[in-house]
Amino acid sequence: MGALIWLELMYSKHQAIAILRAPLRIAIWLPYSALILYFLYSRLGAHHGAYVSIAVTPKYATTIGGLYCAMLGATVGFAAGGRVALFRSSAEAVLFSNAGLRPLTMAVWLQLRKLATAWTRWLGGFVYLLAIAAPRNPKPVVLAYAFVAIALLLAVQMTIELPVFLLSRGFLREPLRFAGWTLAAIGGLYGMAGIFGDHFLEPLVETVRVNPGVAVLAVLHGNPLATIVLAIVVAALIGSILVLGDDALPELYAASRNTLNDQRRRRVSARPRFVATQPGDASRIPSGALALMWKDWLAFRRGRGVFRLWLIGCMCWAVCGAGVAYGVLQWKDQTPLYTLGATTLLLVLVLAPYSAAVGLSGDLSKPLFWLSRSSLRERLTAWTFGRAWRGGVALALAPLVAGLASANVALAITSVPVTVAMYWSLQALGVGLYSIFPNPIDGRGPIMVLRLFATAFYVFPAAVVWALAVALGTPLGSGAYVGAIAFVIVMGIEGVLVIEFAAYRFREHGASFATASLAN
Amino acid sequence: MLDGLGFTLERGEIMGLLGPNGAGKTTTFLCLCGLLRPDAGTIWCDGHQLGSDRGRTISLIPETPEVYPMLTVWEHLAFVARSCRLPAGWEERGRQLLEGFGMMERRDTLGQALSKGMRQKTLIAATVLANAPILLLDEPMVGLDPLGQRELRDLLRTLAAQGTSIALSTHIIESVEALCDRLIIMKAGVAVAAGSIAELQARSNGALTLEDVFLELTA
Repeated sequence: MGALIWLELMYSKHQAIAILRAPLRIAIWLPYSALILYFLYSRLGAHHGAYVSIAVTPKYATTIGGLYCAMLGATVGFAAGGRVALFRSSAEAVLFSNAGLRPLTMAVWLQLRKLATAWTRWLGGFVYLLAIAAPRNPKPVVLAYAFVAIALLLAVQMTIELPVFLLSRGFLREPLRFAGWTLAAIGGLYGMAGIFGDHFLEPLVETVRVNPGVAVLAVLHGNPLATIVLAIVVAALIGSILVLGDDALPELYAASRNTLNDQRRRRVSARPRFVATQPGDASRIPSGALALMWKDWLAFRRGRGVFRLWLIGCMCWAVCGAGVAYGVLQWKDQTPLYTLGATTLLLVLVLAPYSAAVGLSGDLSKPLFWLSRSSLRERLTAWTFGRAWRGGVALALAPLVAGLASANVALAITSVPVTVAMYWSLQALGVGLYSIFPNPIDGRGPIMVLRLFATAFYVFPAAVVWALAVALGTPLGSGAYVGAIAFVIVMGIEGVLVIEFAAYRFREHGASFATASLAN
Repeated sequence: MLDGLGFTLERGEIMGLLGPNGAGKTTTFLCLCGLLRPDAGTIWCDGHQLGSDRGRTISLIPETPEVYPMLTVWEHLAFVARSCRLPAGWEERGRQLLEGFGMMERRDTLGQALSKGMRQKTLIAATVLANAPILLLDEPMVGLDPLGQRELRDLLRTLAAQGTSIALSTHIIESVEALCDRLIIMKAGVAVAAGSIAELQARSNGALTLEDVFLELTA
């Protein structure tokens, strides 16, 4: 075990050296840490003034509890099905085996390493969660219990995988799979029920007679009993390896290898394959930068399953729009609609720029992209248009259908231009952010938080102008239309500016960006 | 890191950049074609100093030749022709290029189905069609079978004879001997020797082969 700890320390040391070689990456943690400290200060000291918090009501607690159960169930289901990757690679398993380590030592080590890695990675997240979700002005002992309980909740999630996998080597495989996926399904139902509030939650709680939200509130309020129970569960899960883990190396090796191979295969198969169609008339290809839009159109037309996937996306958004219209017309309490709407908008704001960042590196690495006679600004503009129209049109179907179904003419008319303009502008923002943070690892961690702030800062002017225009236009009876036009103009201007910035950053640095985005 | 590197590439010349791993060959090419910004230095072509958009004049075919998987070979040429706003009549020149490169049968094959050699040929044809007078090839022979290597050598000789200036980086000495008019041997970002193969051999301390010269200079 000592040798394994030494190996892990060496691994951590080299990671730390790699981080220290890029001090800017540490500097990025500063605003993130400052934000968490501010939340803690405002939350725990009962200070007046700016105060950021989430009030975890019983309904939200049920949603959180339900989603936690869903994740736990999925982990159990996957582990019972043999889908675990406890070794980092096949080579690591061989290395451990050649080092003459006992299989039981290895199994215990894998369990402890997974727990330690998860705790280290999520430490900031625990503090953040505590800062925004703990009861206001708590006693230190309550806070300590809550902190430990949150860490133990994660520990259960992390340590349940290996015992389930080891147990599933025998006749318990199918019962465990069934139990896992049943728990996932019920947890998912609770999650949805919590979001949709009283319409579904009460009937579900009455039927099942258990509410995971009660446990979540107990954890957040630092209930000692909840903390002790969780600690016992974690200890049992770790201790069970001593009983189950001997002679498990062949299965652990095979499962890790299969899971890692599956992950690799999925990554490869996620790249679209193309089917040749009748070559078009070359004279119809638009010239200059617009040729990039033609190229993207061919990718859309020829990508196997791409068109079908887009149609499914369109249908999903249209169904969402119809659901919104139904809720507006039928429900008295429309809080769930606002919650879902805000969550969806937030997801779009986060994912749309990120998808642009992921896609651009592919073009930057192509020599032909750099042969064009058009300026880089024109090419980036065309590139973003070529990609944005698909997502924008699909997304616009939600407000369009909602407007049509609820007879809201202004919403129906303004939905398409507003949504497409917003989507294009967000893609442009993604290109701009990519020109600052090209590494895929920046899609998470503190830089993701910075990206979120940048996105909020980016959308803010358009939202303010929209609100002002609506206020000015309403007395004339055309507030919605004036607001929509103002919104489209501001988003357009912002998009152009951010593309200009990205073009400046890319000039003579194309290779660096293409290389950085291939890292990790 | 490159330091004080300077050289001239004549019209229709094939020049080799030879050096061990990490010598700076690829970095040199990336700076030349405008994909990396050098700290200092200038690049001139036909009496004009080239700016940040020099990728239109100096075209790089990287070691992994990346084509668009959704475009056919012919559509790559069409894409370049339209994005470079080539005048009417480029189709005839494109056809000639594909025939010359032995790619006419593959005209309607998608990029995703091309071998490395075919991807290289597609990119070279597109570059020549775009009238880029200078062609850089980074490790072009790596991953090609003997027939593919011979075809590529013949192709490069033909292009050079037509006036295209070519620089290729490699650490495969045989391909340099068979192809290059002149050589620059690099080590740790610095040019340690330059000249024709005969000149380099004459200058060395009794080295019999180019391999001996190379090992003597880069050891």
